[in-house]
Amino acid sequence: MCEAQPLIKRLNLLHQVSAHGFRLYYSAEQQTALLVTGCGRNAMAAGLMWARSCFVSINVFINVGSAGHGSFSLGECVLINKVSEHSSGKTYYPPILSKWGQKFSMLQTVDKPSDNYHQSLAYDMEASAFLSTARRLVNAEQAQVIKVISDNPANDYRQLNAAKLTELIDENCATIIEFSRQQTELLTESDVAVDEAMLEKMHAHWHITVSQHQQLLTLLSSKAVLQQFALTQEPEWQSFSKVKHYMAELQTWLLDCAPRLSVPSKSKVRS
Amino acid sequence: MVDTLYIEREVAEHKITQRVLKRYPNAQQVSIEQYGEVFNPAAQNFRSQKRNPALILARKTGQRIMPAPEEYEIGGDQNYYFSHMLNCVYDCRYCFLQGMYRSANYLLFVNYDEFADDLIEHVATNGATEPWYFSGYDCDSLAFEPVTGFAEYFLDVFARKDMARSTLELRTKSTQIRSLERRQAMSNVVVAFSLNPQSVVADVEKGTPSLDKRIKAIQRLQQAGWRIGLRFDPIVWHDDFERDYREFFARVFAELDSAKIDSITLGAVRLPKTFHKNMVKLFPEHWLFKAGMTQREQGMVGYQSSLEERLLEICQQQIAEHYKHPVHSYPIASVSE
Repeated sequence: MCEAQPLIKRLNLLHQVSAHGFRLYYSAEQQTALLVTGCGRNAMAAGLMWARSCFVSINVFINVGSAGHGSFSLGECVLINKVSEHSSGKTYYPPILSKWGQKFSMLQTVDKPSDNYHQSLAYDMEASAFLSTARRLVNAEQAQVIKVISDNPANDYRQLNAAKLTELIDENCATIIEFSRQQTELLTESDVAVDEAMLEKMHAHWHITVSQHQQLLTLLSSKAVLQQFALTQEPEWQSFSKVKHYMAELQTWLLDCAPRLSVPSKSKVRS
Repeated sequence: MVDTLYIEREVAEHKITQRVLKRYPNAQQVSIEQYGEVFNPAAQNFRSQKRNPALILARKTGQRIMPAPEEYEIGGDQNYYFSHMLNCVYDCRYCFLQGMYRSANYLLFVNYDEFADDLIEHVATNGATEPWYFSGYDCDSLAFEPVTGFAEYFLDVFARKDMARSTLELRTKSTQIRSLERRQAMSNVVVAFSLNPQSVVADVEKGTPSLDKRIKAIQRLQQAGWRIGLRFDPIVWHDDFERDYREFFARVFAELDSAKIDSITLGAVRLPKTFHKNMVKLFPEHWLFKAGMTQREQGMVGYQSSLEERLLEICQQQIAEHYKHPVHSYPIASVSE
């Protein structure tokens, strides 16, 4: 909880819901949420699944926390490029797409705190479970791990306290939030909106089987993309007695929609 | 620009790896055991990764020389391809690689020496009179040349006496031709350029050199005596198709020496059904995967057959006004199962 406080404050996460020993803080518009899982892999896996069930539309996940490191200084904020799980040997490579101006590190997820540091490794107790669980929910690019170095060979974990952890995260809030913003921007997926209201009316108008529904969705999605190129009026769906007749007509109409290139050739510009 | 390098531990000290590392001194390096750990996992999004692809350096094991797909069979009595790299630095919307791979990361196989050994042995033992080897199926042959030194290395291989009856075809859209210009033209190397009207280049061949620059590169190679192939493939249907392609062919044949063109091939946009499905998921808003497209024979998706036939015929006729030799055309119906 001490690691979460600065982010809750900066992100203005005023609302909260609790269940199963987890606490989830979220913004008024429900675009950002912060889950406090507690320590360890099991808590991370269970907490993440629960959080996802609360906010299904959130599609960028970042594991923020503290970590030990064999050579980095206290307070350094690192983006993790490789996570290996000590107990199983499993390895994860979060694909890094956003710009990151700080250091990168490999990380090992261990089951209990240790003061046996390898020079080039960060250590935590949750990241492997975070990535393993997140990849069941979203693509690999959408799950990242950021750690703030809280202990190293010169300052071992026994010297840590809640106030110090809060301070370390607080100092790096701006970096973490900026990374989160970039990730969200990068990973916004394109979609073609099919007119749901019209689809509903079609269902009331015709008997539509499950497979016809799928075909219809595909055709309507093509229509949404290609109608800008249409030279003739699209078929009026209400005038068809059966959906299959409408789909056949729509298919023919779509095949005649010749795309206009967005960059015209020179001769076209001249004319 | 590459920000992240994944390096298989086995090739960390390889000469080609060291060459690439010098090129990217500021990239973060991540050690991996096997490229599949990064390249193959299921939950990856090609479109997202294409915004900032990493470069994976690995060793190609197993079979390195494969029988060529039918569309490539314009060369010798037996045709093969080999891929030193998977994925391309360009971002052509019609490219099948988007539908084939989960990852958009560039995967470079640095064990050129083993590819070379295989090629030399293959020429010696496969029994073909004139075996033809294609590069550029899973990547552009020249686009990454300053980093990979691929052409520089393999031109030396094909310059060997015992490789004289074999031919190498480098398929490309790139103007990175310095490694060719630095040496004498080779009679057993064909540089095959993919060309399209500039309006198509600008719209669906993101990141590629303009038509103008490609023509200039071809002119330089022709003047230096290199064999040139032209690949009008894939032609892309659009509202001004006929006019755009007429002007395009007129320009190409006016500016290039037709007598020194080795071969021309022609084909329309076509994709295996599964690749097309993946690409529609990645780019649901793009017209290319929908306009005139339908499911065709042999598990392919392409222009409806009457449209494809018409487009290929228009191009054949337009080319015939300038070029008197046969043009190899590849309608979907010609693909065998």
